[in-house]
Amino acid sequence: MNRLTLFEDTIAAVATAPGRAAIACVRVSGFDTKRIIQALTQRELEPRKATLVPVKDPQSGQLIDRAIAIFYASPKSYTGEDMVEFFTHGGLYVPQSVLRAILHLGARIALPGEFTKRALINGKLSLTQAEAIEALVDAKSGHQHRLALNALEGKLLDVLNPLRETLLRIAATLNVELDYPEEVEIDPSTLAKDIEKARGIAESILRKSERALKYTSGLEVVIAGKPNVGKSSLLNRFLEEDRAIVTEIPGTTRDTITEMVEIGGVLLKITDTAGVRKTTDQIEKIGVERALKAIERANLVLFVVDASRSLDEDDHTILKEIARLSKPHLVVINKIDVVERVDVNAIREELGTDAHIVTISALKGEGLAELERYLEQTIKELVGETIEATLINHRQLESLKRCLSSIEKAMDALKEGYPNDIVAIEIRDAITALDELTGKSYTDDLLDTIFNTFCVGK
Amino acid sequence: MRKFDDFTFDIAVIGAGHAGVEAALAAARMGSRVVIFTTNPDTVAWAPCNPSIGGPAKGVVVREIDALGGEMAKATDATMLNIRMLNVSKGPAVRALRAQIDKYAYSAYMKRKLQETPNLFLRYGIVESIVVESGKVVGLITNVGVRYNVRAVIVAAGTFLRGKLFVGRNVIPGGRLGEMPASNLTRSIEQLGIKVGRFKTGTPARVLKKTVDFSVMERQDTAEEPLAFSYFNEPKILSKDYPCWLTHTNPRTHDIIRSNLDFSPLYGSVKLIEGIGPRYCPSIEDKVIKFADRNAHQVFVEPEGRESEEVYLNGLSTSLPYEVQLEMIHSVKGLENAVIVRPAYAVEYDYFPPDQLQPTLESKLVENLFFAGQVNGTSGYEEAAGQGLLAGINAVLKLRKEEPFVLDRSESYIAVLVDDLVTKGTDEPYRLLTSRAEYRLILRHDNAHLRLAHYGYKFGLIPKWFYEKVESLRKRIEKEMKRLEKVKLKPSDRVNEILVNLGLDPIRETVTMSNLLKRPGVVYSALKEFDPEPIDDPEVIEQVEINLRYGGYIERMEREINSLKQLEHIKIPPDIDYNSLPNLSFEAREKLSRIRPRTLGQAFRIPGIKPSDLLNLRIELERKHRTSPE
Repeated sequence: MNRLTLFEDTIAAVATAPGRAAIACVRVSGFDTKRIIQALTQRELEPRKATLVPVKDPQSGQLIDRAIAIFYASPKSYTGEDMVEFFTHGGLYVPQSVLRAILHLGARIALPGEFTKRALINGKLSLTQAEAIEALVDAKSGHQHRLALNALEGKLLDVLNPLRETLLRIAATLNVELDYPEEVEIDPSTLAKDIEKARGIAESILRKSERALKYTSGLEVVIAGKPNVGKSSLLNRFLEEDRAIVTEIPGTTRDTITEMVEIGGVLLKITDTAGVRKTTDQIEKIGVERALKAIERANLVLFVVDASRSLDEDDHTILKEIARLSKPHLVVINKIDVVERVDVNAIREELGTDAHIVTISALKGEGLAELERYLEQTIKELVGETIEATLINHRQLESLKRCLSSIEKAMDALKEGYPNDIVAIEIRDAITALDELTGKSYTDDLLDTIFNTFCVGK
Repeated sequence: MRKFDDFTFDIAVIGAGHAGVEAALAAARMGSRVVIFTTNPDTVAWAPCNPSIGGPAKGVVVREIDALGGEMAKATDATMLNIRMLNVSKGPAVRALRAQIDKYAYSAYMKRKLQETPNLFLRYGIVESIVVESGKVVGLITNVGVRYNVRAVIVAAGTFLRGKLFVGRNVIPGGRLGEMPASNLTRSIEQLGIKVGRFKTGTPARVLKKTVDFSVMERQDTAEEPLAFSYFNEPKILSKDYPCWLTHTNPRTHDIIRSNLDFSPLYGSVKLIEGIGPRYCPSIEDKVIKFADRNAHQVFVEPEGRESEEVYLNGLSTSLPYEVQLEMIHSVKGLENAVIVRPAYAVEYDYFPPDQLQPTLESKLVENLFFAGQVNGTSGYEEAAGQGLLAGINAVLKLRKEEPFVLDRSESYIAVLVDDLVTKGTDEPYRLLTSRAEYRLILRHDNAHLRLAHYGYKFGLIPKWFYEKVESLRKRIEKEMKRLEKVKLKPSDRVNEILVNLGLDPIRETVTMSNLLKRPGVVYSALKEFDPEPIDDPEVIEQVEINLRYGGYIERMEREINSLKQLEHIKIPPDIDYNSLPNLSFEAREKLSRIRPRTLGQAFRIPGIKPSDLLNLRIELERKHRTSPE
């Protein structure tokens, strides 16, 4: 057998989502690909050339579909193995029949992510690239898409390089003193400052990345307000479908409802809470607590007030909570179609002069464009700086956290009076943790930095 | 019939420098019949550059050589003029000895050792070619028309292979100043299929001691405390008659250099030197060009020997013309009237890229052909000696068909050196630095014998009493470590007074002695009065203190070593065909085929090998293992 790959089996899957569609793609990868092509189409394919072929059931000889097939010869394929992609007609039946025929020929069904896994193991992708591809496929918003693409294009290095260079400089300083004790001496206060600087950079990247990562799974937006001010209708306006129940009975939306929606390229996880109201009703009380908790968790609070009613104690409770937590917020004055009684100045008194306030009519759709504009702007302010931080998953965050913790240990060692050699060990660990992300090599780069920065030797 | 055969030996060593001497002594002491060739029997184990031994990392190598039964530490102790312990405050891992040696006495000591060792023969001879039959060394031919029959050859020719010396635009053929190069050996080795490269290095001028004004320089005396390189020797305090002196270059020196660069064989309009020089050992012109903003560089004035009227100008290595050297030297404070005896010069020489070697320092191409020292692209006496010792031991083991001697990076600096050389190669003359060792906290000056003496004993290179001395130290350390865990200290006024006097926080609860010793700044001598069984042996105290204070870090390193050991234990069959693994990247295939790593751990360290390549290799090895009949 002419086996050209590491894996002992050939995998196949329908690569496109099921359902009615014009085209579907069936993908095969593994050493047996050529034989499968031959058996299905009775011909050999030229690599990388789209060819119209009949796809026949090898058992019955019956035609399943006429499809475009592209053969990729190892190692010039996504997985690095021989691969073929059949672009069949869409729908449920045709692609499944083609897949069935392929499985009949000895391939097995691919596990989720297995093509990428093979690409990784076969050295076609780096781990960070594979992770970026996963994130790209998972992208539900423009923000996520940009993060993933940045990672795929290697922007990860741009973000981490200033940190790594700072750490390398510290390591070089420490090591050159140890290797050339008669020529170089380190000023301990400069060393402490440099380490503090590195800590600052690491922490800032970590903070931004953590936020970015949180935002990729959805920016938490909470719609809060007293019962029956139109929170649910507002949510429905966003969703443009009647998901949440809208009634005239205060306190209908007892359970919080969460919906996903994309605004301004950012995925929002909008939670509609039960109203905040001082009440003796046990069930409602639970809802109130839940709402206050939701506000605390939220990245952005939409506080809805009824224009037709003046602010009462409950409204002030919420405004005070928003002000206390300095939550990014929008005050939405609803039902302007009825009558305007609410005191905007009172709101400003609670939230300060930079309070964001819009007036709308959720039912009639008035002022919604303005609301959305406001929302987009607020979201941009929130998310804006996270785009440059491109750590895209928890593995990467973990490496950065380990880096940060080693930097902190280096500072502690310095403070506790350990010799510089020990500080150097911690700094080395910090760089090694980063290198798991970047795939660089510590020792070689360290020596380069030493000899480019210091003048030593006879 | 005469019993002695003049021309038949087990092993021939080419070159009697620091590598050759250690190789020849080790091989002969292990029982092989050894001949060692030199171009000049009066300059055995010469110090053509710094008359000094040791320094960070290098000093630890000297200790390791001592533990393995080599000669360098003993020769240094016997001939040193001054000695210091460096990096005392910077951590136990980077502490190292450095000694100035009487280079003439050192050479005489080593020559005597060579000539008094049984089975070992020092001979004049420039080797012209190595004779190989069926891929195996069988002999060599020298320039005096003699063919030797030998079973193994260790090439330790230093800078002599097609060596060229440069003083300005003057080119002098030579291995070093005053000595002839070996012009033909390279061709013979090249014909065996071994690749050749070209490196350069340099050395400063020697000036007449009586023309130097030491009164304006900073004096550096020998240590006040007793010190010795060799664990065989009693540490001693040296006389202060041979200090080093420190002075500095100045902007005028730098101007002189800059305005004469055109006459440099390296920077000038006529570029004569092609070889790559070491970054860590730059010439003064390198320093002035690369660090243009510095207006002073250090110059150490070092003694060359008790009987010598010359001093060495450490820091002023150059290949500028003689007159420029004079002008430059005269611009330095204290050297205004200095008279040159020997000018500074650069030397360019052949080396054999060391990734062509196995970790035993045997060629991958030619059986029983070993390489050690500067011919492997290294620099430094200590690096050379370490390789020589290893090559000598391995040549003997090879001839005896015994397991090769390969040290791990986690147990010795010599292993770091050799592993770097054979795994990564080198594109500049290689010097050991503490920064190259990932486990330097374990590779310490103070524990070299605890780490390595058992190997020296195993090969018969150190005597039994010495080995037992080391093992008894180990046992005492272990015993005291355990005991101190049980010695309790109450927060008495006396304890806290001592701690406060050391600048430390007082204790509030009862603690064990070993826990207290973990705190930085706490020393055993301060707590000794509270120990019911006080320890008196300074060696035991030192080890206990280091093990306790840095215990956490040492354990961390040991964990790391153990996790990587798994990779070291996965052996790669030497005959593996990397081209049959098509999923390796082209780069990986090319590199693995060239380096031919012995273990997965070594493969991991080859620059450019990605984790995915490693994974592929591992899967393949496991598959082979499963399908193999054994």
